[in-house]
Amino acid sequence: MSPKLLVVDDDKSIREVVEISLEDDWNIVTASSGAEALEKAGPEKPDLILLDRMMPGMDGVETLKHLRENPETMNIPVIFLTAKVQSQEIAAYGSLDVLGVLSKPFDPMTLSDEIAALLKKTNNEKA
Amino acid sequence: MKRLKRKWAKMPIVLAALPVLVVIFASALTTFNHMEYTFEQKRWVLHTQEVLLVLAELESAVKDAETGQRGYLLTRQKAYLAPYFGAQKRVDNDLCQLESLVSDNPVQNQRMQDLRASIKARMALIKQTLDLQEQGKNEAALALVLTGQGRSHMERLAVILSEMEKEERSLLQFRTASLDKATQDAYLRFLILGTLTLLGFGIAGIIINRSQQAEARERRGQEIIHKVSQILVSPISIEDAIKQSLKVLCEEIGWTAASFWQPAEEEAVLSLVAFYAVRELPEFEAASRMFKFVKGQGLPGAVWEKKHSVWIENVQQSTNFPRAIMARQEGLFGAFAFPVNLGDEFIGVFELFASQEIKEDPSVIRLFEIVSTDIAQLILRRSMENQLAEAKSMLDSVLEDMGSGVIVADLSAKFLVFNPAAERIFGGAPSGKSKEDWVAEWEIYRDEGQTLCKREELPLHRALHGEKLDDLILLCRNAETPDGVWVSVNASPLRNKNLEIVGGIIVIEDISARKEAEQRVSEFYSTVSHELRTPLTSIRGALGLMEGGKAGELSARAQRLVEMGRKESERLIRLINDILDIRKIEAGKVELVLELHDSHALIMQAIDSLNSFASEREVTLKAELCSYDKAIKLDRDRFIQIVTNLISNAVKFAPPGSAVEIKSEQLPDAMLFSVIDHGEGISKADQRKLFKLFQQVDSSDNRQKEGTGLGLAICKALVEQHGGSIGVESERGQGARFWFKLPVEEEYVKLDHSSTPASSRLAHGQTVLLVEDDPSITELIKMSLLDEGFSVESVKALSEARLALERNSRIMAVVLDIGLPDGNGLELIDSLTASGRTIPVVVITAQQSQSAYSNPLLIDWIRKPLEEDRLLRAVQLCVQKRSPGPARVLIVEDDESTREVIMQELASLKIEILIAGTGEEAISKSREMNPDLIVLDLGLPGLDGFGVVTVLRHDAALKNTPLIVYTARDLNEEDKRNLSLGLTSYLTKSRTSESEFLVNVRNLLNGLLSGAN
Repeated sequence: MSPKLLVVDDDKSIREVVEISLEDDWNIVTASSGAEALEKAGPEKPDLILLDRMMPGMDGVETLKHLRENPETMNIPVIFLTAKVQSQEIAAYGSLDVLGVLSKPFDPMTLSDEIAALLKKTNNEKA
Repeated sequence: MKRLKRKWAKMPIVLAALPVLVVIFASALTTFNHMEYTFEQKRWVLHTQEVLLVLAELESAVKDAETGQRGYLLTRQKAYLAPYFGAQKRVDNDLCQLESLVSDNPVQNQRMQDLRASIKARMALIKQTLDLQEQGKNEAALALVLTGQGRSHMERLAVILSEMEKEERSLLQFRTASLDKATQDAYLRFLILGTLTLLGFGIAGIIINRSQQAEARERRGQEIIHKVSQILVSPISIEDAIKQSLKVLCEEIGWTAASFWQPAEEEAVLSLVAFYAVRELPEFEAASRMFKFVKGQGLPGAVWEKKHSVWIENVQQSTNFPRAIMARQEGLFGAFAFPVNLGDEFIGVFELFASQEIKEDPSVIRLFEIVSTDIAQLILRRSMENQLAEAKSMLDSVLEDMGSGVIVADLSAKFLVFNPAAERIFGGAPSGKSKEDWVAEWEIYRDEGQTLCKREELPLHRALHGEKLDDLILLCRNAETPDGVWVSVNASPLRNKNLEIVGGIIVIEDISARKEAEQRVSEFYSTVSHELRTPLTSIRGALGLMEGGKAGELSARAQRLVEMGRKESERLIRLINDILDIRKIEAGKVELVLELHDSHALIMQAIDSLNSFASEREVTLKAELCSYDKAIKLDRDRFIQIVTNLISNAVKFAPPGSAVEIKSEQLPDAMLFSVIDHGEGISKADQRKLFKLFQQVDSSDNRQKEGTGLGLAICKALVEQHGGSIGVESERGQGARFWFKLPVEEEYVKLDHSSTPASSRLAHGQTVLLVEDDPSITELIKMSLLDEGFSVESVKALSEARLALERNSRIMAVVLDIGLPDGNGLELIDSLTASGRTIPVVVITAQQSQSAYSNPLLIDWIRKPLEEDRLLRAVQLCVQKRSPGPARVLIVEDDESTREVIMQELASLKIEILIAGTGEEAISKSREMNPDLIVLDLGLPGLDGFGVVTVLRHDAALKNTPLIVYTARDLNEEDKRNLSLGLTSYLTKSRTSESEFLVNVRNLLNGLLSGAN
C-alpha cells in the first residue's frame, strides 16, 4: 500500500497533472480549497500534504496554520507548491513549518523524485 | 542762525575766567590790607577822643567834689555832700581808665603821675576840710579852705589837665589827617576793585552765554539727527521717509526748500528723489524734477564730483546753476548741498535753499557732515530692510502656495517654518498644542511600513547632524490617521555662513496616492502572473506527462511535437518571469539588500551552478579573479543573477571547445567584472540595441538559444540600481567582452576593524594554516587574516597541509576547505585528533549543510560564500582558546519534555548544558555559572521570562550574555525590545526547525566568545 498524499490546489488541471505524475508512488486524495483540505486531512490521515500557496479564500499559509493547530493534523508534513520562486519569497518560507517548497511549473516526470528527496532530507536531519 | 559747538568748546570759558579771577583776587587782597590800616587810624582817632573825654570828666569830677565841700561848709547840711561822694568814685574810675588809655604814651604817662598826685592831694584836702566840719570845727575847716592851699592844688591840676589835653589834641589832629588820607586811598582802591570785578563778571557772562548758545546749537543738531532717524526708521516707504526728513531739515534750520538726489540705476546721472518746500515753489520744483545732472553739472552734480559739500551764497548769480531762472522767479538765494556717503559708496545729495543770501557758515557745514553719515546709514539700512522684506514676502508666498510641505527647524528642533502644505499633510495641530508636540505624536515607520524609526533615524535628527537625505520614504501614522500617510522626505542641514549647522530643512511630499497606485499595480501584476502561470503549469505538466510516456507510447513525430510544446511553454514561463522582473526593477520595486559580500565567492557560486550547462555545450568556464582590498556593497542574489545571466549568455554564443573567461579587476573607485567569449562577436549597430527590451542580436538565433531577450535589459537595470554601469566591447568575429562596474565602498581593512571589535593584538604573529585549493578564495582569506595581524601559511592540498603541520609547530589554527584535490578535508581533522594535536579548525565549505561530522577540534563550519566577519571571529576564537573548553548553555524551561528536546537538539554541539526550571533558578544559575548563552522560555512559574531578562540586564556581569528567546508566543516589537539582553534571537517554538535553532545557538556562541577577551 503506497503512502497517502493529499493534493490541495484550486486549479483542476493542475490537480490532475499532479495526480497522474504521482499516482505510481502515492495514493492520491485531492482537495480544491484550503477549507476542503482541512476537512479531509483529519479523516484521511495523509502521510504528506502538497499544498498550493496561492488559492482564493483560505490561502496556503493560512491552511497550514489551521493544520498545525489541529492535534490530528499537526504532525503531517507539508510541501508547498508555489509559482513564486524568488529568493526573498523562499526565504520567507523559512519560518514556516514545511518540508520544502516546490516551484510551479514543475516537471511532472521528476516531481515524485523531488518529493522523495525532500522527505529523505528531513528524515536524515531527524536521524 | 544756529550754530553747533563741540563739547570741548567750554574750555575757553574757563581759560578766560582764570585771569579775571586772579586780578580780582589780587586787588581784593591789597584793598583788604589797606582797610586794615585805615581802621587802625580810625581806632587811634577814637582813642584820642576818649582820652580827651576822660580828662574833661576828671576835671568836672574834681569840681563836683569841690562844689559838694563848699555846700556842706556853708549849710552844714550833709545832703550837700552827695556830689562829693559821687565825684570821689568817679575820680578813681576816671583815673584808672585814663591810666590805661595813655599807658602807651610815655609823655602822657609822666603827666599822669603828676595828675594822679595833684588830684589825690586836692581830694585829701577836701576830705580833711569835711572831717573838721563834721567834728564841728567849722572855723578850722573854713580856715583850712581859706589858706588857698586848695586853689593852688586846683591850679596845678588845671595846668596838668591842659597839658594833657593839648598833647591829645595835637595827637588827634595828626591822627585825623592820617585817617582822612587812608580813607581817601580806600575809596580809590574800592573803585578800582569794583571796576575790575564788574569787568570780570561781564567777560564771564559773555563767555558763558556763548558756550550756552553753542550747546543749544549742538542740541538742535542732535535733535535734527534724532528726528531724521526717527523718520527713517518708521515703517513708511523710503521715499516718504526722505521727504519727511527734508521737511525736518528745512523747518529746523529755517531754510526754504530742500531736495534729495540719487544716481539713477544703470545711468550716470542724478535725478530727484524727493522735494520739500515750506512755501509754494511750483516752477523750481518742476524744474528740479525735470533736470538730470551728470557729474560736475549743477549743484548736485558738483557735490557728486567733489565728494564734499558746496555752498552758494546766491544761486541767481552762480555760473553752475541751471535752475537759476526759476530760483530768481521764486526768490531763492542761498544754497547749500552735501553728499551722503557710506564709506566709499556714494548714495545721494541733499540740497537746501534759503530765501535770502547766506554767507558760507562752517558750523552748518559741520552739522551736515554729521547728519549726512547718519542719513546714509539709515537709508542703506532701510533699503536693505525693504529688500529683505520683499524677499521674505516672496519666500512666504512661495512657501504658502507650494504643494510640498516645508518644515524648517532650529537646533532645538523648534519649528521656524511650518508651511500650509505641511499642515495639510499632518492634518494641522489641534488647538492648545504646539506643532512640535503635535508632530512628535506621529509614529514614523520605515519604508516597509512596519518598523518604527528610531529617534536617530528621523529626518530632522539626521539633518541636524549634517546628513542630507533624498527621497526617503516613510509612513507617518497617528491615532486619527490609522492608515497613515506615505511621505517622501528630503532633508538637509541648514548652515550659517561659517558653515556651522544652525537647523534643518525638511521637505515632505504626500505620496500616499502614489503608494496606493503602486500597490494596485503590484497586486495586478501579481494576479496576472498567477493567472498566467497556473494554466501554463498545467500545460507544461500535461505535455511533460505525455512526453514521459504517461499517456502511452508516442510516435517519434508526436514525441517531437510534444517536446516542442513543452519547451515553448517553459520559454513562456521564463518570459513571464523576466517581464515581471524587469517591471519590478523599473518600478523601483526591487529593493536591493545591500551588504558587504565577497564578490568573488559569489562569482564562483554562479560558475559552479553553470558548469553543467557549459559542459553540455563543450564550453569551459575560466575564472581569473584579482585580489582586492576594497569592499562592494551588493545584493547577493541580484549579483548572482547578473553574473549568471552574463555567463550563460556567453556560453550560448561561445563555439564548442572554447572557453568563457570571467575576470575581475580593481579600479580606484570601482570593481570591474568582465565575461569574455570567443564567439562571433556583435556588430556596433547591434551593440547599441543589446541592452534594450526584447533584443537579440540575430532573431534567427532565438529558438536555438532559448533566450527571452530580456536578460541583458534586466542586468542593466540591476547594475544601474547598484549605482554601477554595464557595457559591451566586441568586433565581428572577435568574440565579445561584457563588463560591468560596481562602485566600491571604503577601504576593506577599515570596515573589518569596525565590524570586528575583537582585539587584534592577540593575533600578532600567530600562524594560521590555510588549506584551500581555489587561488582567489585563498587570496581573499589570506588578506583578511593578515589584516587582523595573523601570519598565514597557505597550502593547496591535504598532503601539503600535513607536511606544513609537521614542519611548523607554531601553527595555532587551521582554516580548512573540505573539497580538496587529494581528498576530503575532514580527514585532516581526524588525523590531528589521532596524533593528539589540539589545533582548532575552522571549516569552510561550499556544501550546503554541515554533515553529521563532529569533532571537538572543529570550531565552526562556515559555508561559502564566506562571511568574512564570521570567519575572523572563528579564527580569533581558535587562537584565544587553543583547547576550546565546552561552551556553557543555560536552558530555562519549565516543561521537562521540551527541555529534553532542546538538549537532544544541542547534543551534537558538544557543549555543557545547564538547566533551570524557574525564573529564580535561572537568575541564580546565571550568576553562579556565568553561561555563554541562555535559551529562555517565557512562560515560567513565578518570575517569568520578561522578569528574568529585566533582572539580568541590571547585572553588569550578565547584561551582555547572548540570549535565545524560545517561546510559543508571537512577540511584537515592544516585547522584543523588552526581551533583549546581549545578542538576542527570537525563535518561535512551533515554527523553528532544528537546524535553524542550531544555527542560532552556534552564531550566538561565536559572537560571544570572540567578543570576550
